[in-house]
Amino acid sequence: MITLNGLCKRYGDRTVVDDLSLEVRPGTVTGFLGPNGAGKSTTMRLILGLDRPTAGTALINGVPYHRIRNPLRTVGALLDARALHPGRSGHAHLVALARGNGIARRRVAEVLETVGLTDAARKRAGALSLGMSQRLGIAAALLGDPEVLMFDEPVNGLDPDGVRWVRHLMRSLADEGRTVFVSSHLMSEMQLTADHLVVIGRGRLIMDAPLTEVIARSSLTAVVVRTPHAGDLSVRLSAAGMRVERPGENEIVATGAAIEHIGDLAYEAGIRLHELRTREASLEQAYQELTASSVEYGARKAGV
Amino acid sequence: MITATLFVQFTLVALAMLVITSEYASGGIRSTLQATPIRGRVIAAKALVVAPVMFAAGVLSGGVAAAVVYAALSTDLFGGYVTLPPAEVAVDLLRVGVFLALVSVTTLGVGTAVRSAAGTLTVVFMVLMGLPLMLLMTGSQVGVEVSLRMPLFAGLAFMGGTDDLTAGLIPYSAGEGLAWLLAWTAAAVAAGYAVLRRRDA
Ligand SMILES: Nc1ncnc2c1ncn2[C@@H]1O[C@H](COP(=O)(O)OP(=O)(O)OP(=O)(O)O)[C@@H](O)[C@H]1O
Ligand SMILES: [Mg+2]
Repeated sequence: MITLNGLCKRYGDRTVVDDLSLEVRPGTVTGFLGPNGAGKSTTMRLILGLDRPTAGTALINGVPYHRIRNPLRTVGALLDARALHPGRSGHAHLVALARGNGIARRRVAEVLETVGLTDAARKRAGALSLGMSQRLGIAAALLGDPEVLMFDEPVNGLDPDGVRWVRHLMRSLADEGRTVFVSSHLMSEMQLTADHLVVIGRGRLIMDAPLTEVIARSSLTAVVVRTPHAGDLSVRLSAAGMRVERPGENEIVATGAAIEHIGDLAYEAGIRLHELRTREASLEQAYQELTASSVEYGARKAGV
Repeated sequence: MITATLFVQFTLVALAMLVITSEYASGGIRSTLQATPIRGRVIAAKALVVAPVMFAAGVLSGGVAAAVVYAALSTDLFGGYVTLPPAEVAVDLLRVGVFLALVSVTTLGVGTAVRSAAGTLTVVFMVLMGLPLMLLMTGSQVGVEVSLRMPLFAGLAFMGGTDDLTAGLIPYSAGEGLAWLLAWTAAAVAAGYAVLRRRDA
């Protein structure tokens, strides 16, 4: 369990993490989303005690990171996969980490096998490709068999097989009861992986809710109705306070109401329905709505 | 032999510096602090590696220097007039080793505080060579007094009690020289610790 309490970080006069309070719970994959520069990596560095918070606390199982004995056995993290001595081999890097934290040496071979790096692990770390560095970083995070895992953009640079593998890895780690906190910009991937979402923008918390709720709350999640009496029904739905569109002659798209409510209204009015279904927003759409106002480094619309 | 040490010193100091500055440069420091979040332990561990290695390097390089001198002396060139008493040489070598170990740990401390390799080299060079010589040249009473207590002359006092390089110049004993050296080392390590604790990695 990771607990943030009023966590703040300023660099100079820029507030990068602004009063974050939240809990990342065990047994779930918690996705950590936000536009570039929102403060995701900084938050993770604060959790690991690499940066000092300006205010507030970040606790792991109730204690600050630096109080944990042999921390790699409690918290595994992949932040910047390239942040290691480029002259050392991946194998040597892991052996050094294991030795310093009282981790059995056989774990090194095990995690290298898990991430598929057994052969490349003898190369200089500096000579690894981006995806291989990323795998090595994941191996380092898994090394201590920790109950809390943090991954900052783990699929960065991975091939499609690798992306799928990471998805399964996150899921199985959470299913084993571990706390999994993972940032990503790939919304389609997140939609498949995460149970819970934390969304931040400009350092502030925008949303901390289950994935299903984030999607249900999106204005783009709507109920689609097909009926020969579309005109009649749409008047009734509007009267009931729903936003109604008529994309086609026999079609209604209504937002702002539960699907059951629409079914009941149609039944009471004796209107025949040929179709009644929920059209869910994608996470990408929901995310865009949530963060539209806090995108800092957005590109202008293309066109001359 | 002592003078040779001063030159060897800079090469070795550069190595001691890399122990920490290379970690800052590559970002490996973050991986290190993740594994060992207690800052004091990180510095202590590095010092415990640097000190014995540099001690050995100091004894070895001093030994090579002594051997060369020895070889030169045993030729007919000097007619056998000069000799090196082995016991004294051995003690001298040990002192050279201790001196290099302390200077290297000082460098480690400075490197931890300064972070960049270039900055560390500059600071270390100023503290070891530049400042004491400059202060000495000012000729002022205070300048000379301070200069004589910086690592350069403290080290010479410690290593070369009988060496005429320092004869009459340094107004204190070899033991006090060691004390000053230790004080400088402690100050540098404390500065490094303070920075590593306070600043973001
Ligand atoms: N050491 C630092 N000094 C000054 N500013 C910093 C520092 N580290 C990060 N920042 C700033 O803090 C802000 C948040 O950065 P951070 O890397 O946490 O964002 P992020 O959410 O991880 O973004 P991305 O999605 O691009 O990875 C950025 O504006 C960045 O420029
Ligand atoms: Mg980031």
